[in-house]
Amino acid sequence: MNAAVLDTTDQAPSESGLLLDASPVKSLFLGQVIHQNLFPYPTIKEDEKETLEMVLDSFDRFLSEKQDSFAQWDEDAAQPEEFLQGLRDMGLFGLIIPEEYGGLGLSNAAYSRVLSQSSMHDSSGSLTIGAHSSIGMKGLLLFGTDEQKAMYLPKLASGEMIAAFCLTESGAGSDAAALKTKAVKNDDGTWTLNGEKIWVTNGGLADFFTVFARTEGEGGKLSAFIVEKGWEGVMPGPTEHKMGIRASSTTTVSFSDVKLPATALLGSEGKGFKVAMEVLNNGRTGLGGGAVGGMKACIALSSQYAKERKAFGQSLSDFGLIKKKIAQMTVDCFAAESVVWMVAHYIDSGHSDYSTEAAISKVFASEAMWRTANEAMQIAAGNGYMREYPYERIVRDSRILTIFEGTSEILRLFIALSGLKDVGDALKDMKKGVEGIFNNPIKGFGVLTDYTSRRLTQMTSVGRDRIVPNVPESLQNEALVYEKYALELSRLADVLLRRYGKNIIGKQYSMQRVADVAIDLFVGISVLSRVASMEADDSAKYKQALGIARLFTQDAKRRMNQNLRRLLKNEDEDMTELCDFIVDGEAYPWDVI
Amino acid sequence: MKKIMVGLKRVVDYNVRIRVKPDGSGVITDGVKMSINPFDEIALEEALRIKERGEAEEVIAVSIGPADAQQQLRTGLAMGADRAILVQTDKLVEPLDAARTLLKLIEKESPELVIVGKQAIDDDNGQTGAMLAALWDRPQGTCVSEVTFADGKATVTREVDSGLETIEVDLPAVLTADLRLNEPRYVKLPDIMKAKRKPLETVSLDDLGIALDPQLEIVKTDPPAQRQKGVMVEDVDGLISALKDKGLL
Ligand SMILES: Cc1cc2nc3c(=O)[nH]c(=O)nc-3n(C[C@H](O)[C@H](O)[C@H](O)COP(=O)(O)OP(=O)(O)OC[C@H]3O[C@@H](n4cnc5c(N)ncnc54)[C@H](O)[C@@H]3O)c2cc1C
Repeated sequence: MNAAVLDTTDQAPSESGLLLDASPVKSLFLGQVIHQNLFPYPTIKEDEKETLEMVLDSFDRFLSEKQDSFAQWDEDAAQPEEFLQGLRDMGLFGLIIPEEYGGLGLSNAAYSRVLSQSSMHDSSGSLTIGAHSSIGMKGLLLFGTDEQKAMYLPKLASGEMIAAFCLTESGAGSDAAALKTKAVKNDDGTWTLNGEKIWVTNGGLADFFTVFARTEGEGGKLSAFIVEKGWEGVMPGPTEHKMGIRASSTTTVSFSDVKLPATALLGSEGKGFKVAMEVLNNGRTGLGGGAVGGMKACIALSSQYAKERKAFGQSLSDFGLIKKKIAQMTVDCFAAESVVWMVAHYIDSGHSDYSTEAAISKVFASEAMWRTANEAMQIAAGNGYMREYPYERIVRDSRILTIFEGTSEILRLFIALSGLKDVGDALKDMKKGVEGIFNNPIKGFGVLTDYTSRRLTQMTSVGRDRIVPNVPESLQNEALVYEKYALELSRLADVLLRRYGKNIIGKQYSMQRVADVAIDLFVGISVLSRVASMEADDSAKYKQALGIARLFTQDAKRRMNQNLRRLLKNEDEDMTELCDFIVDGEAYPWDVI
Repeated sequence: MKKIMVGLKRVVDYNVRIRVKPDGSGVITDGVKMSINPFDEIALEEALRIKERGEAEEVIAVSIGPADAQQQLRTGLAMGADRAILVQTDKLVEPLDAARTLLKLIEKESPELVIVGKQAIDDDNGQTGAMLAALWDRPQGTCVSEVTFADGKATVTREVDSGLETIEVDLPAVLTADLRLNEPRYVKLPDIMKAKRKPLETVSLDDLGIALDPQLEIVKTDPPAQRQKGVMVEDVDGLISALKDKGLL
């Protein structure tokens, strides 16, 4: 987004009250709080709530009865056909497909909530549905033509066709754009597809593949295609042996001289990378919702266990060190839930610039899930390590979340770069503006005032009061923390860019710190907004929600302070040298003898 | 049969741990998951199966309760009921008043069969079905574990202490569903969407000409006493001596 658009005062709010092209996180990098996109916290519509509750209830019952089978399917590394048929019969493959195509037409928020419910029972089952909806057929939903939709969506909704997303290759993981699968256009407009994809979720079940291939020479553009399993030359490989989510099917899928009709092209030719990124952005709330469900399950297991298990004549829950774990698990879950729901709401409102926020929700929720699973295991200790208990499976299952659909590292870099880019644009505009004053005084002056007024705003603190008025008296201190650190972030972003310019790309330690501050700000403000929107009564639930806001904010404040300070003063050089030394020798060189 | 009417009561979900209000005036239902009374769900399932066998044409789900009971009726519609009627009231409705209200609906709809649960798991009265049959002056088959229809009659199997009892009742009749009558289906998600478009009519007690006439007064609600912690005994001898210590042997 162009930084000049950021003056929000004259933008008309949309139906949802949101400024649909203003990214709240990117704006934070400029020290601006787009309060319209952060307060009040989104709520679900009454009629969708009723539908959603019925969906949850029904799915819950269906899964509860299978509770004892999930561990077995994990061992077997497969879901039996009856289970898949059960998912089809229930209509679970049609969650986000519009009703006119035979689906349920759930909003992104409701869909994310459904996956959170299913993940309380079983991650693999959630993933079968999630990979189908969140990524497998999302490209068709977002970019398909009416003919393509009419042809496939009804079968995808009923589960007659299960979908998979094929981007990754052995030489192209995080660097997806390096993929080598090739689609060559024939004279008659058809395509010939060759290549091999790896680690395709639902690979062994799918009949519908969204495949990304290079449609120009080496280094050229990518395009997305719909590929049916039945087409000659499409070959799924055997099931991979995995650490976790073992019942979920993961396979290679290879394509050898597969003839694709001209109508298999999904979106425009050469726009494949954009399709892939849009699909992943749009699907993040599914994964985030799943993580939240996993955390809820851990909290229930751990609180029961801590109450029942006795040591030194007391319940585990009487010990401070255990209390701290359960409290922290709860804060993490609430925070993840708050930010995932917020992002889902942006998507449902038709927001056009939410990729930074979506990345934050994915990083935070997946890492919070991992911390939570790890602590649940620690509370159950020896029992937790045994296969008769569910903890070890939860730990194995949750480990994937920070790896697929964008690793935590890649997403942090993305978050930092997205934010810094706007600051960079603003700086550039200012420079250009100064040059331009002589050629086009009026335009140049406009740009200049825009940026300088924003900087001025920061320095004089005018316009700082964008969070405080939106929260109750009891959360004023917390609100001030986020106001303060939003300004700090923008100040340091400015310093960094002036110091490194384009070379910031190579400064990963700095980018990680910047990303972490952005994560704490956006997650923290989401928590604050949610608590501020709750009915302030004297219930224990409300009181504890205030406690969560305080706990999260205090931790976030410490982290943000540390991260920002270390942007300018750190031991990064030592770190780099040490790593280079070790990697060079490929071993740990010291010993005590 | 043309019509089957089924009663669906909104109750606290059977999985919820019930908590009593601090002032003892009842149980906490705020923010608590509510569901269709499980025996009523069985009643509806049976009605749907009868219809699916081609032995009935229409299944009408009815409920007496607060506006929120619409949600249970919607679930009933999603399971397969054709339409629903809510008699809306925020008051506590005792079995006799419930039976009088249902009778009014029967007079309007003239069903050949009414099926309700044998009891509701909230107050466990187990009276509504029987009272309704008496007021309607029609036969009843209570605690039904199996039912078939032929020649305007229902053949009903009931589980009684001495085994199984089979009775025949003339239609129209009231049946009350027992646990083993059937296992209710899962609601399929697309049916939830379809249910939104099925008719759900709301009437008030006034509309039906019913004035509640409570016969009972709830004096106090208490949670069950906390169970004392048990002890583990090593073996049979240990058990015998423990029982003797308690003066039970
Ligand atoms: C169970 C499972 C299911 C999957 N399902 C699918 C699927 O359905 N469809 C699909 O297309 N893919 C799928 N994947 C692939 C997944 O998305 C990739 O594994 C992921 O993108 C990471 O790629 P990689 O494993 O090649 O890691 P690499 O790219 O090799 O990265 C290795 C490490 O280096 C870090 N790193 C990489 N680049 C940088 C950088 N520039 N700066 C700093 N650090 C960096 C990474 O964060 C990571 O820690 C699946 C993977 C698994 C394990």
